[in-house]
Amino acid sequence: MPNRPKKIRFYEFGAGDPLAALIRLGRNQANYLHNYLEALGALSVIEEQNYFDRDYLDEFSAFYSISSSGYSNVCRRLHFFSTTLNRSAFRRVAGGSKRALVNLKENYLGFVVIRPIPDAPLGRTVLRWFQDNDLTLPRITEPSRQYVIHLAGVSLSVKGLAWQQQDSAVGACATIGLWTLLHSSAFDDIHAVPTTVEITMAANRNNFLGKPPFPSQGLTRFQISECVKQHKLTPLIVESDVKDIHGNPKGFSRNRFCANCAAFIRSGYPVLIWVRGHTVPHIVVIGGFRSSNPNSIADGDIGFDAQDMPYVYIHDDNIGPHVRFRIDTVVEQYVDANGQQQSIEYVKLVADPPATNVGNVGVPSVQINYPELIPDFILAAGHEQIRSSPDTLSIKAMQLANITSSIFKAVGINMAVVVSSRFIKLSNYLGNEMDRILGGNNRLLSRVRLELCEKVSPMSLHIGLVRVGMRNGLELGDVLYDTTDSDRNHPAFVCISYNPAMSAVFNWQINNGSINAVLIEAF
Amino acid sequence: MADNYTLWNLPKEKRNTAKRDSGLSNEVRHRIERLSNTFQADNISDRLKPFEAKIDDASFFGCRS
Repeated sequence: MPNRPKKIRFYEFGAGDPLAALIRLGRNQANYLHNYLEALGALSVIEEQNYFDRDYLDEFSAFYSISSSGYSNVCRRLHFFSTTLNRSAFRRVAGGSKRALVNLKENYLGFVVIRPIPDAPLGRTVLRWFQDNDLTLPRITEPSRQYVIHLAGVSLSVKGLAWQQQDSAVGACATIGLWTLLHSSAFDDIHAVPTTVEITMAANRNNFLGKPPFPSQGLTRFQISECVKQHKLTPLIVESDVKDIHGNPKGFSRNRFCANCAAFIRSGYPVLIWVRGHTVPHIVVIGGFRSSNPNSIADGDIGFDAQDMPYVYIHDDNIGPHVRFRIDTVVEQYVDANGQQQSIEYVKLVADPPATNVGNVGVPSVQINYPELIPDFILAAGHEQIRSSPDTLSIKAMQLANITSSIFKAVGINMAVVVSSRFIKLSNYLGNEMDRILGGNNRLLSRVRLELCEKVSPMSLHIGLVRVGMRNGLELGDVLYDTTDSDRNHPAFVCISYNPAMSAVFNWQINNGSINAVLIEAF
Repeated sequence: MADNYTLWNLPKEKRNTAKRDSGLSNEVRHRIERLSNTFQADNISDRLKPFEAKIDDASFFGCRS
């Protein structure tokens, strides 16, 4: 049947809206999305009955168009608002009323594409994050980006990270995970976001394992890495470190998992994780985490700033976007060959969404009864120019924290030394980060920025940043590393000291050859 | 000052107080500068081990919802 013109429809948010209709068809993800939107304060829904979705059109071209089922090539798109809205109100917006437009923009919560695939209708979905009420220990959502949509000539935007349900035809959980990964804000200026079809094809291009790419049942680790490379990005891989008595991998130590997740997400890279806990291995994507100050680092000790990270926010194609998971650990006891009692401890992720007052609009609140996830392997897609491994940066960070702490203790200062590492674009460091730390002192900010440009060897586009500081958040110093060399060389460009005592610590390292870099004093 | 910020979000208006409370004065700088070259940092090889894990097999990953 040919496509025909259809009206834009307006609904009150609740049991009668088109998303709720999917719940009645047994779509659990639709129930999660409806609850999430209710908690966001959704009051109204606009339905575009005719919407051509780029991802679905590619899926249609590669798979659904030649199915004898006769799938349509047109989707529907639902927009959600935390204000009441009807056709006459929208007419005012479409007619150019600035006041009505401002109201609509402020209350836009995001969109859900509904594909004409009965078993997997939930396509590209971007929803606003819940408001963050903790400004001192904020939710870090750096990979999220602005999505601009156009509706009858009206432009609206929402900040989030795209999610969709897997269809198991052109994409399994691995494809959807990669698709979300490549939506990262970090790639705004260099990469167009690929479709799920392009991802599955790229993963199979050089790692064709004798199986047809479609219908897609999953990808190997190598195929996932290959897909990242095919999109001119670098797969940054982190292996689990905790092993059982026989040497079999069991999972991640909390320190390794949290340090790496924090480093990637602060860098704007979502984190794709392979998890055990399901009947078969599964893949989900971490798009944010709740920061914490490292209270567990005792005076005189050292540690990573994110080691007490309480929660990560996960896109899981089985549930939905932004699902809060608590970081917990599994402890296993065993007796070693000498008869000694030993134990190993590794990370598990437990679905733990915040309590919200939902279930009041005629749609039941969904209980997330979900297996605990054991992360086994993590991967981020970094910029192509980055050759350093995140582990090397973490080791440099721990070494810097240790030297700083040891020297302080030797002169009678017994304080906790906190360290953090990430990749950052040089322009962002010189711009936003320098302004945040030194802004307000124009002469100092100007001097440090110029010295970084004029006294330091030419720096790479992306730098490895190791920051050392105190438990209260005070930065003591930064070391900027070259990301374009090998891990064995891993040269430092410059040490930046924010404190006289830290200058002495850097000078001690420079004098004994443990860091080969210039020192800039930023105080 | 509230002991509640990270290394990435200390506000400008809190920084001076944090610096004053840090106890890391010029006098500490001089003490460090007088530190002998034979000084040795603590051994933390055990704490570096988690970051030295290597990549091994190529398992297959796919999960139907």
